[in-house]
Amino acid sequence: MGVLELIQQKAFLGREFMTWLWFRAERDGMVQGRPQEPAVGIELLGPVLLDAQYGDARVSTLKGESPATSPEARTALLEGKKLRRARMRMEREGVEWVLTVDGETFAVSGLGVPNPGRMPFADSLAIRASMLFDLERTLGGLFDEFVRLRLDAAQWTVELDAIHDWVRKK
Amino acid sequence: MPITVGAFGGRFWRVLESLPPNFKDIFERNLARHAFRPLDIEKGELQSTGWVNIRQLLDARLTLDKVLFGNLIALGLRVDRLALNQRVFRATLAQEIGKKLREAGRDNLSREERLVLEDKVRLDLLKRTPATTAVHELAWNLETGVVLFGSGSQKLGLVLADLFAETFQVTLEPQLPYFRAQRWAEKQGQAQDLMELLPSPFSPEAPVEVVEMAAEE
Repeated sequence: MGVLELIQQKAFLGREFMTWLWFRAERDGMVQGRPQEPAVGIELLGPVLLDAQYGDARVSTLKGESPATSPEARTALLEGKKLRRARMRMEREGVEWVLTVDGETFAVSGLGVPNPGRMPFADSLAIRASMLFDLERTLGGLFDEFVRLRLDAAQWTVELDAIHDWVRKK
Repeated sequence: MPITVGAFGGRFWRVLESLPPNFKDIFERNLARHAFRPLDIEKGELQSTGWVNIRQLLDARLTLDKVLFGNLIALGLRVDRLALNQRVFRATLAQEIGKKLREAGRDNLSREERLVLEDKVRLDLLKRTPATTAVHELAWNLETGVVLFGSGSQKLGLVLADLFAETFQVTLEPQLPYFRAQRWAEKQGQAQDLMELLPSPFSPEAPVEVVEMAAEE
């Protein structure tokens, strides 16, 4: 199988990861990535985009005050849609990122990075790049934890039951 | 969208190989080779892509000390494009054909004459058309191998991967969910489990998601 086919075939991992983050964030407030790293606070903002690979209406885009807790979000989840793209707030050890993440490509957009103020270019670049690299490590750590769970059949069954319960009660 | 100022938008990439001990010599030599060059319209170039100084997009005379900041390589990828406005081209061509016919006192041009005129008009217009310029910033952490690139475009991503490989002699891979999962699974000896993984239904009521499996070679 070619690499492009594999990327396409496993694209569901990104959408499942995003939906799992949403579930964990609503259930626990914080999401634990790699065991040795601090937990990450996650809050879904808007807009959010959910999609499914089947059905007549495959994409739902929700905007407004709190789209993640809206009845429309519940309906979309019950229909089997998964989160593909969302604006969210992430916080780890006092560092906060507000950004939009695309689950299929891990592309980020609209990420506010503070301007370090007047200082030599090299120092300013180092500070800003460091914040961006921290974000990459944080998102990567969360995804690694998701993959670990996803590949553990027994643990994933338990997790999936909890996700079904969350969707039902949303 | 930029790394050095304002809000960031783009993709994460990863360098797959470790760097050779003489990497600075390689970079110094290849940066100059793959630096941005202005479009050469006479040669029919409609796009030019190359590296520029991240602090000054007009500076393409790159040396290592302009791009190396501690353990970071920071660069701008400049893309200049020239596009002909087809409506203006057709109108100008019609005008030129009319002029030529009047001068020659004829009713029509031969196919060859028309093609020559088309080329001349195209070239004249391109010379008067300003190119659009875009600069996409890149920062590469030499310790971790993670690369930030200030564009999410897939098409530009392909251009970046090629230019990066030619310049730095290493492979750049986009941080897509599959690649990241594959790297994790391989470390854990679960690569086969990942290959066989199918989507899970997250809804207690919805049907199972269908994924088309390609036939094994």
